[in-house]
Amino acid sequence: MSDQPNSTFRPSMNWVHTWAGLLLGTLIFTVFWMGTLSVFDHEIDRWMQPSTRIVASAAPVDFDAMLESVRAEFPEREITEAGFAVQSERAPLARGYFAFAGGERETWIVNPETGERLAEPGSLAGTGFIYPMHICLLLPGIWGWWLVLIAAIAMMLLVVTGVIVHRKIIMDFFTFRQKKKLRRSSLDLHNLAGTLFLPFHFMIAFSGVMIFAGWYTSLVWLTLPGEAADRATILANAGDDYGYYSREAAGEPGATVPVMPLIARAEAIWSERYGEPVRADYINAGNYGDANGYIWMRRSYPERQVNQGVDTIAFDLTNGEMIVDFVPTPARQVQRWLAGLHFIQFDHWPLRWFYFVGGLAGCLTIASGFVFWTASRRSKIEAAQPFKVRLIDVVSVGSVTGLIAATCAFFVINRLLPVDASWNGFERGVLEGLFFFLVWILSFLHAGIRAKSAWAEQTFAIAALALGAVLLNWITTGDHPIAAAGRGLWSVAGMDLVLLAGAAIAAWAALELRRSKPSAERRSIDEAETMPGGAAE
Amino acid sequence: MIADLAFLLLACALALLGGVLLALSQSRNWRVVTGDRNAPPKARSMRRLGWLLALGALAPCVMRDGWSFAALLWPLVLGVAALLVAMTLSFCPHWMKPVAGALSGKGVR
Repeated sequence: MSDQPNSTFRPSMNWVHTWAGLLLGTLIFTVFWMGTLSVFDHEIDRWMQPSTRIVASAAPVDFDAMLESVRAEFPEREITEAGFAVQSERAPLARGYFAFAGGERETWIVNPETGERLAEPGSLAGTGFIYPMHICLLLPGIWGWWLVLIAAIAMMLLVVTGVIVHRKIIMDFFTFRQKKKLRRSSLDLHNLAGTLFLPFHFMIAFSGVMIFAGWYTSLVWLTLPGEAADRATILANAGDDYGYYSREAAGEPGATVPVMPLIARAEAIWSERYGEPVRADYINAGNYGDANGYIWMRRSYPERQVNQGVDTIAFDLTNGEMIVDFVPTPARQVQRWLAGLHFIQFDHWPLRWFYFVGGLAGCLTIASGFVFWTASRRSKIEAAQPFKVRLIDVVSVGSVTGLIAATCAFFVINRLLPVDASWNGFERGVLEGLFFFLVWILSFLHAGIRAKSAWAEQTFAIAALALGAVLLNWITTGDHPIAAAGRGLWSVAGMDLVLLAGAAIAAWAALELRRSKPSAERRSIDEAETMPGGAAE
Repeated sequence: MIADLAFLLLACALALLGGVLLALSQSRNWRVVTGDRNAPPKARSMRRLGWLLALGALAPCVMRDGWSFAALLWPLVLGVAALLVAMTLSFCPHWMKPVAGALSGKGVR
């Protein structure tokens, strides 16, 4: 790094930082925001799926009995695949997923405490909507995965260029002058949140890339023509490293042995290996009823371990013979640590909350970057290029406050739609998702119409929607935070409290934004601040 | 369980104290808290001690969960602590007066 007065290094880094931020800010913010919420995806599930609000029970669920029930319910159908998710502290319901010869699919949800089957909860919620939005933006095919990869790489680029661009003010990392003008206070927030959580932001972006590194390179191969495009082989090789097991169906009928004794055998092997009781976490019976039937299972994540790598065991489903006993190799531990730190399946509540704060800080960094950009340039270029300023206003308002408002509206509509709602063939869960996108699109339109007032107005909307969600949850389920906590439903109480805190912060921020509306900034911009590197006082 | 909580609180306390010292070692923050326009006394030692305490917060993190978790917990504890310090400086700087008083040897004003 050169400090020569005529050096082009920092101006060029500034250029990269500004344009990568502006062009990809929407994408990065979406991925970061949805990732932050995914930290509590199961807790959001409990909130949005009131029928699943139960306290976790360790009572084992009999999956053979579940298979019997499925056969009894659909006597004319033939099961070809069955997946079983064992309940856990954060996901207290056991689930069975069944695929049939005709291509039909069924999900079976069981309360482990009572053994009774629960109706479809009617919401995609955290694990079905917010988490997929984080990993692939809910886009069909592989496009979403690529965009998320670009977002992660851009985030790393922004973190590095940001350090160079804002180097001098980074030394002032305790500074937030909230009473100063918006241009000043937004830059303070940008530097504060960006600097303090820099290691976390970099690690999250980096681990996000590394999780799918193998997968992404497979995608590269898949896009190539010719011999490389043997899809199945490539994806199977990618899966081998993680201990997944599968094999082709023989096409001939075969016997099926009971599932529960095999689970017990695997659990006994793991428990002996690790000297503590270990349970199976996910079980997949493939080619069910076929001569090549198999059953694959994965142990639950150890409480005190970051690394995602866990043992898997596969049996032959026709006779119960063991096929594979996979133990993750030490050579993979670094990659597995990176994956584990990103997936946060471990049991560590304080760290989970710290992740949430770190994620919010990332969102704040991106959002305040947007605000700073418009606030610092408005007076200078508005006269000359009104369209450019308007466009960036619309994009930044819609991407930041619009997305947050849409998320809150997603929670609100969840509590307003009747249990059996459906419209034009769309099920209730899909309707919630459509409403989310409707509100998000409207937020861009609103930003286009209201221009300078849009930031403040949408922030008010966030406050109102968040508060509304809490009140509606109380009215429709009776689980206000105190009642929920009293029943041991910390997921519901916690989400309510976060929404209340969010509503309070949004209301305060809206008042501040109204006070220092960008239009109120009369002082012409000084060159020192156009070039953020020179903005230190 | 109690040990877990104790280690976590210790890590947070060390990080917070380190953050307060680092913040007060900067002239502007010193002025905001004390109203004193002079440079903070012993700024250099304050800075060194501040970094030392921040580094020291790693120890309880490791003792609580081992290196694998500490590598994640420690930077986040430092970040959250520093954020709290920054917000205190911004909204209620007088809360830091006792610390500044103790540092300048003049007692609480």
